[in-house]
Amino acid sequence: MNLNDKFDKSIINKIVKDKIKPKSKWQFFLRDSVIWGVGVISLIVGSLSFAVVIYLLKYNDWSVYSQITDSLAEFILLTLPYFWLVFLVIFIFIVYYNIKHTKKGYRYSLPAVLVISIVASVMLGGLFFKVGLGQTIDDVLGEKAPFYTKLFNRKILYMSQPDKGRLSGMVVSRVSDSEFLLLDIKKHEWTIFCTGERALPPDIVVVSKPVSLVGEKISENIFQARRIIPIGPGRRYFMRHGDMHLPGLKDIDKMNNHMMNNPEFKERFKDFPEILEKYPELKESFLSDFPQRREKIQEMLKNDPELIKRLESLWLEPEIMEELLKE
Amino acid sequence: MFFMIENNHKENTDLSDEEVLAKSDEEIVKMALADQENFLFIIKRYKEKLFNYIRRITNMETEDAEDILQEVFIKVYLNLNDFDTSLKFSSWIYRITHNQVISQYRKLKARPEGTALKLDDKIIKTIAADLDIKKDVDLKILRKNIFSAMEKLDRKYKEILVLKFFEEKSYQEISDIIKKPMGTVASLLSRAKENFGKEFDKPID
Repeated sequence: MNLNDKFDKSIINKIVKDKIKPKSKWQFFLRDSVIWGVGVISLIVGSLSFAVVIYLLKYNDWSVYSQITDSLAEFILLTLPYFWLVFLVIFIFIVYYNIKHTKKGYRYSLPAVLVISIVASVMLGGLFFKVGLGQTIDDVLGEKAPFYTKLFNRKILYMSQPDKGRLSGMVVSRVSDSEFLLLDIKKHEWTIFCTGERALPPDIVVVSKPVSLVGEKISENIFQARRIIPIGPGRRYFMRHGDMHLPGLKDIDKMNNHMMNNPEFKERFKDFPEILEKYPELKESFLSDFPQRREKIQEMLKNDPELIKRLESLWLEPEIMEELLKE
Repeated sequence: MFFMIENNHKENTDLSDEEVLAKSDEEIVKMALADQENFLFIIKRYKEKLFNYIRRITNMETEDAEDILQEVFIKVYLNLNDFDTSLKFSSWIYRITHNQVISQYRKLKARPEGTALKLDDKIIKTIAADLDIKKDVDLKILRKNIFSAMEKLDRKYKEILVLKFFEEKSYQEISDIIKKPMGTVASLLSRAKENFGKEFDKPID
């Protein structure tokens, strides 16, 4: 059967009658841009997840797994960063989906597109890890994210079970060559002894830095450590509570941006002077960072003379203020 | 049919039939974007091919196939600016037709089957050669058997055989039409031939 001219004209009639116009080029450009944009963003997010995975796995205390668990398999199962791996898989899938929905995406086979998505995420993730983004993300989340120990880094809770011979916290004082004080994640103070006469590793047991311990609980506030391990992933988690956090330049910057009217911000540092008084070494550690802070604060004071009142009202006792403002 | 015919549109009479024939699809697309009347050239060039394609893969009645085809042309017109010149225009317009048929497939399935496959001698010989069917069989019997086997195939197998043997599309063109990788097209075609062979060897009901 042949379609006659009536058929042709009926289509043109319809186009004219319904005022149908070809969609403009920018609509298609926008659609394609969204597909590419979402793909690129997903690739970046997936790669950032991979950077965190590398960071968490690299500093996973592999050397002490036998003292923490019965087998390597158990240790791996226990410490695998599941959240980040799931996150990575989700974003690799989104990258895959978007590649397939680009104009020529259908030409590539499923395995090829999957391999491209995975390789791109892994390579970019490796690069992000190299420049320290894995650590930065963990630090930021450690300090601020809710459910950090339940979601992003479950190992911290696992390493905070003194009854099972595992303890984590921040070093607040070195008492002797074999003894130091530690505040755990519940702000409970522990006296830590090293096994034997061995001196505390000076590069690990540093006041204001967090550590993990493997050993034995002797009493409610005494723990005997067989191994002392510096904490990489989750280190900022130990500083999230106001009374364990040393205000840094970023906090002072925020104050300059009128953040200090925020009650949460004030609450965060309210116990700080008390803690500094209780642990002089912690105070000393804080003051050792002063030259850098002093320079910055004095520069900020030039632009904002009111800052001094806010500093006084917040967390600094007169002695520290004097030190801070010294020319 | 869902349109009233009006005759108040002038056709583009500036070009003779020979001149239109000499123009590439891409040139005609540009002309249609500049003046909607020129869209007639695209309709004229593709209506028979696409009509047959729709009928071959769906067995629809003539009027239903026309309805689908009209919708196809409206979609083509709407999306003219999305035509990617790195593709063949024919692949692009077949793709839109394929998608339109797929989107109506459930509705189509409920309709009575007709006899849309027209098997001329050339097609029969090509199919027989490609599918390794005995050539000494009478053409009439061969036609009947091929028709019967095609009708029993799954839609996806039938469509790929139609594209390959009836529409004479290359692997690349089929890939662009059904939006599958070439490897998938090859394996789909291979499975389609295999299934066709099985159905061909079965006695006709």
